[in-house]
Amino acid sequence: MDNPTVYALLTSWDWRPEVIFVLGAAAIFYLNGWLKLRRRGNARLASGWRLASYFAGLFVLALSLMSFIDILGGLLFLMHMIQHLLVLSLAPILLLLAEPFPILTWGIPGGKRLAERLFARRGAGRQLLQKLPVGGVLLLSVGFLWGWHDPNAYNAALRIGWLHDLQHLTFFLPGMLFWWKVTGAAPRMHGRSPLFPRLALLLLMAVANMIPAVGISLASEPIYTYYLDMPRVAGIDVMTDQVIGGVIMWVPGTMMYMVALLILIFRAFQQNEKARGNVDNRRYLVEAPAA
Amino acid sequence: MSRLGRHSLVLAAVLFIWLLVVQPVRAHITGTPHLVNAPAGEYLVTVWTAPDPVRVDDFHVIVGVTRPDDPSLVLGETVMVTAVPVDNRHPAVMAQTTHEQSDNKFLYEAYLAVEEEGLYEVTVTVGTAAAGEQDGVTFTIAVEAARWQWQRWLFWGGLLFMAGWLAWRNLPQQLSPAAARRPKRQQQVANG
Repeated sequence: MDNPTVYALLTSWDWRPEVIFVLGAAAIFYLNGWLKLRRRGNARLASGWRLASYFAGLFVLALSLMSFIDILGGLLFLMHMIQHLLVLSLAPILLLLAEPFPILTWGIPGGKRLAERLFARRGAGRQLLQKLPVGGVLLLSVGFLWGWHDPNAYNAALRIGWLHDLQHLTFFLPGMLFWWKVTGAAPRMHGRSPLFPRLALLLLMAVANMIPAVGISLASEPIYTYYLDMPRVAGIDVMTDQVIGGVIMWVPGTMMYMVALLILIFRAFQQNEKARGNVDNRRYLVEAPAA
Repeated sequence: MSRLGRHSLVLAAVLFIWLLVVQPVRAHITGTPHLVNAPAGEYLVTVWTAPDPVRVDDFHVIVGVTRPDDPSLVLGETVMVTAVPVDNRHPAVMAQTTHEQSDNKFLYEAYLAVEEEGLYEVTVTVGTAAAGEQDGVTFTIAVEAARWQWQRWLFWGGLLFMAGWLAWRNLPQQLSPAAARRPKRQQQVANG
């Protein structure tokens, strides 16, 4: 490759065994469950697009945790914001659209027994998920988002390896819970989960995401002092880096929630139309013999 | 404590231990900074060491090189690192840093194979000796004795154990000695 900067960018990978192990196991178990369900003729659940979505989710996680996105996150704030966007929103959405719960239940050895135990009437998993209201999920997501963007916490996470991992874990797990509520993925313990709380959840999260993002984008001096001591990549100075990072968090970050909100509204309209169509059809069928 | 609380506690403990165990396997942050934009000839260098603390069998030096008039990282330079024991009782160790040895290919990294623990003076030089451009920057660091890395053994041992256990559980019944013995025992019970 002619351009040494592009070459350095594309070859900066940190093959972390613990990440490869977890993602590899998640891929093998899902594929195993998907194949079992296909063999049993359940192609509706184990569809091709779900498999593609799941593997895209795992790929996004691998990219964000091991590629130049993670490595340059230590030198560039904007890369760290891209990483957070992937871990917090994109990876959970792709994974949950693939309905991982029922498919992994088929794929993990002893998975059905484990799922029965966890999600039995008094099982720990059922209790945990049922007792977690929409407000609790929002508080958890916003709490970690704001907490980790505090300058002291953020600087510490970049200096201490395990704290950095904890930061990503506390973005990913509440992200999974948040998008589980929004997408309505299995296990279906969302209560009645009507449309309004889900729309409110998305709207409030979009606002909560925008507050620090706008603050970072419009700040007149460096907020995250860790980057002041770092050599610069591709001539991007600290302030430009901070502004771009803030805008990434602001625009694409908020857009994720707004797009999901529009999709939910669109689907609600579609279902409403379908239900109205069914009522009309039934009326026709009832009235037709009389005519 | 309720069942839910117990399960949450166990899950939190497992996650915490996982983080503690895997972190020393490979720290993915740059390292501990020692010099920030220190002048070395016509360049400025930023120097980190990893891990923290550095040990006789695990001593890496990572270097970032920039120019005073341009903050962008300079690639493809010759960067040498020398570690000299402060008490001069052991030989000095020298190594050339390369991009290949570093996960971050914008930086330079070298492994220093020092023989003994103690205080070392580390000098980083940028440029080729032939051109007479070598100007170094120096810092002092304490190198600790090698330690048995139980985390690494626990990590790989745990993986091996899990793989073995999964393989054992999934053995076909006729191959599994436990499964082969089972009918005999059942027969004995049936015969009284």
